[in-house]
Amino acid sequence: MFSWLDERLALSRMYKKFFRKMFPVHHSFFLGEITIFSFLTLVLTGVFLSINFEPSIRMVQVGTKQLPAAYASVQFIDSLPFGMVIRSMHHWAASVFIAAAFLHMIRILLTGAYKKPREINWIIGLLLLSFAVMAAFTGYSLPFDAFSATATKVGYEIAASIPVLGTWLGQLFFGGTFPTEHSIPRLTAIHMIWLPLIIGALIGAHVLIMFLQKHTQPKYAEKVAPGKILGVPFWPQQALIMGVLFAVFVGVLAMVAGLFNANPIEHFGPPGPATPTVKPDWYFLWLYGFLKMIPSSWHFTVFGVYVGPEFIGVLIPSLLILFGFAFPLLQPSKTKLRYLELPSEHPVRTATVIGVLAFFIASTIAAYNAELSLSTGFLWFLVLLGPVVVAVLAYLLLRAIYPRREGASGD
Amino acid sequence: MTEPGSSSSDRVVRIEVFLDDRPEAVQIVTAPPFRFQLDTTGLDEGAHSLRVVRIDASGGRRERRIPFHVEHASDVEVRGLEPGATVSGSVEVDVVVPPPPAASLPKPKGPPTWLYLLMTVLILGGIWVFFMVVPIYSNLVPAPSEGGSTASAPSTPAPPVDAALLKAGEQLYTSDCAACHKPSGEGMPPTFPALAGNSFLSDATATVKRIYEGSGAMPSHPSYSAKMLAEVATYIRNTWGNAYGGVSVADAAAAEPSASNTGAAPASGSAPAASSTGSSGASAGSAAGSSSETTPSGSTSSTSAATPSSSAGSTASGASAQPSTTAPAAAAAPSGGIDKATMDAGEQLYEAQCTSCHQANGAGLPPTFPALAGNAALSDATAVVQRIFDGKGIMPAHKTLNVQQLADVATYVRNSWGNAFGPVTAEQAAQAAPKAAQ
Amino acid sequence: MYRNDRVIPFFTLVFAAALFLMSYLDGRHITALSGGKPQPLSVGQIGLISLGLVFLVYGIIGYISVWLEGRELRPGVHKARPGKAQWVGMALSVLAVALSGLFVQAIVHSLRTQENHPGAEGIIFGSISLTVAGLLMVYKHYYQDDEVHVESEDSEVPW
Repeated sequence: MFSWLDERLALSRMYKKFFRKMFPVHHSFFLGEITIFSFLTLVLTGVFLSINFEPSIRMVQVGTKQLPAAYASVQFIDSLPFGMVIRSMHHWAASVFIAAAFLHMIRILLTGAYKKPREINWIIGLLLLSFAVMAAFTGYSLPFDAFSATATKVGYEIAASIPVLGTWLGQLFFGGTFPTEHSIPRLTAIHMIWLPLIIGALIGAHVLIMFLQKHTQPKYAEKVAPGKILGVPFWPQQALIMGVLFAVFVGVLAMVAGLFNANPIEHFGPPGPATPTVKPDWYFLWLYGFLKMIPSSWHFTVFGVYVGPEFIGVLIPSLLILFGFAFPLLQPSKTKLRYLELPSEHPVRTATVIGVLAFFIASTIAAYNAELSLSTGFLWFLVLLGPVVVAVLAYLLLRAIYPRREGASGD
Repeated sequence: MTEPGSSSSDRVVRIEVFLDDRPEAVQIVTAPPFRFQLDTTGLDEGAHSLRVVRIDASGGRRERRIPFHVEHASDVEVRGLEPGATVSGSVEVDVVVPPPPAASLPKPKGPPTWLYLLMTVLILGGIWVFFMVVPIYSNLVPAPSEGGSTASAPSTPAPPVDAALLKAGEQLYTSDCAACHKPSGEGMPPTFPALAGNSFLSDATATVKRIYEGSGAMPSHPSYSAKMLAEVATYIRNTWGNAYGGVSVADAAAAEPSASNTGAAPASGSAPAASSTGSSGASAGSAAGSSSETTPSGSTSSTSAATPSSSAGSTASGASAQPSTTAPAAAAAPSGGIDKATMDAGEQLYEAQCTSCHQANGAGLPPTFPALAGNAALSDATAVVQRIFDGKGIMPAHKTLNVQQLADVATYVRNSWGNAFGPVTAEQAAQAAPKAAQ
Repeated sequence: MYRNDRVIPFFTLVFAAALFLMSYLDGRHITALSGGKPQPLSVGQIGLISLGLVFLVYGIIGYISVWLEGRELRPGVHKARPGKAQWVGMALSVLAVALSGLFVQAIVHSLRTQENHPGAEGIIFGSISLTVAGLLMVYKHYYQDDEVHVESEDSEVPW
């Protein structure tokens, strides 16, 4: 059997080339794998959801009630045995995908793994994170309950506030002013076909390039096998560990998904005249917090184009993200980075990363200004000055704990 | 490589070892133990094979071929010259020669156990303290009460409830509080807490203070007299299954000495800003004081820092200082002939759909949700109707409203809370929003 | 931190516990505000739990990785010694089969009564998955030889 296939597909060559790739061993490398496995979980659970979901907001008769078809079909999914768990797992896996991708990015930043030759993979990674957020956003609206429909509406308005492009984007993604009867079918196609294809292709490229460039290695490998990649082969060693990770991931996720339904549509009901008080999903809270800090009086007109406070609130974070894309290109270097850099030996970079984290936390807190009774002035102070203070403190602490060593051997 | 000789004819007399396809043997062993050393350091990396030929006493030969791989762990690393690089001039190249790998590197010392424990306790304890002890939360979070009974104050019997206060309180509650806290006292959590079963109410003084001074999204009510405070407090403490006892006018006056005792509310019809510092009677007093002054900019330093006052007057501080500036506009606007039924219908719609953002008192939650009280932008009736119908920014559209409903809401927001921009007729609304249902 | 140590996994587990605790206390806060009525998870809670989940899985796989792969790699093949592991393996297999039976039972019950118990279904399915993880771990540790190799940096993989 194997030889039959081998003669035709040259399996043993593939084995030698790909399956014997060496994986350096360190637990921080698992963050990327957790991201991949949450994508895999999303695809697997998504298959089940997609064959039961009806992408339409036409009213259908369910019992005595008139309900949008999308909402009714999600109700049907929830009524299937294990259906609610699968839907909940899909929802949680989407959140975990974004959380894991973000933490993976922080790990790359802290260990300097974005440097030459891995700049391209850094950019692909950021693209992946952006597409993942888009996929999560488009998927959010599909059950069409009062909560998600309102939250999507807010998202639509923010997208529509983009000068010149806004209307065009609204037409492209929402089929007009959300919600029209075209909105849900269009969002469904984007969410179920195009975004998974794009994300899948980008993950493929991400992994292939990683295979080409090899992992960064722990420093001790320099002593054991300098100039080489020291590791365990993908097959069978690393694959087995990955199997363990996938099983643990699915196990933990299924338990949490079963116990906590992330989107109980019965509780919110179909969209009605009374709009619930909503907040956007948690990965948008920092943007939303930023939006809350911008006074409604901030607007201006450029070349006859109205620029409102919503767009200003989006513009500043977008510039930050664009800077993130360009970031590794701003540090040209002659040598290739082969070994992980210790965060403690690069206190400036580490402190900056901690500052960026503080910025995200502070602007997320800003989204809760009403609940925490914080004034706008205090928010500006918190979001702009807080991260700087935290970064400086982190720098001083790092310097105090890890005094600069001459000719540090670094292990 | 050892072969136990069992019989004499089978006895091994010689072992020849060949490497790869080299013709000459690398090793010939003639006597036991048949052991030899193969030095792989001179071999290239990759596939090799070892051919072992066994020759026994009768001259028979048997061969075995053992394929193997050579990997050299120790190598040199070259830095500064990439393979395939084009160079000229003098190039600095670092060659790193490693020390021979130790069999086992020395175990580095990890952090001591007490540090693990300390950090764990600090992290988890810090979070607990933040949620349980920090004032904003301990103020907001009452321990979950048992069905809203008087369980929280068993030692002192609940004070008697004055029926007149309760009745008057219901009216005040319906007009000023029900939009957020709902007529059923369920509120709209998490922003607007439920009052039914809320044990925060067991503290009469704190309840009165919260009504008068506000906190966070809860607006302050500086126009309330001590009597009105007592009425509302009595009502919310003794309705929907609550039984925390009555609040007398004297109690309310003691809790909030700055509230007027006369019962005549100050003239400001528009609701003042939510006090952003959430705070003591002194700051509430100063806020109340400055609302009677006619400074065009914000009232207290904290609110003026928070919200730069704009000419549109769409901010909280603007709203509190607005009555003086909108008064002339109100006089000039055609304010006559507002139908009571229209206002009532508008109020109902407003309470159902608008209050969660713009608040029952029209103060909004600036800067995200602009104040409607004293907002000069309302003077344009067409724009108001269009904004309600089409939405804009985070303001949702209301395509389900018909022309009459649009006119009702527009009339209501233009003529409440001290606004006097005049009524909007159904015909005007139809012109402004031609797509709305008749 | 270069080594495959236990420091980071320990603290990710602590962070996971911290995030779950925050989410729990936040939930109590929201419940108290709504007069004791349980509310669905808020977006903030979902975010906290999601980050907590990543930290939890990271901590678990970190400890597993230290156990299965060691702190540092040395080139060579290290033979595995089964010992008495077959009993552990058999116990885990029996557990997996029993749990699968329970899962089928839950599905059949749900079909028959038209009632869903997502909590129980999720916990049973999760337990099956965790048992499979345990089996794989036992196999890896007791039956699979450890191979550590070196690979040339410019090997032609994938091109």
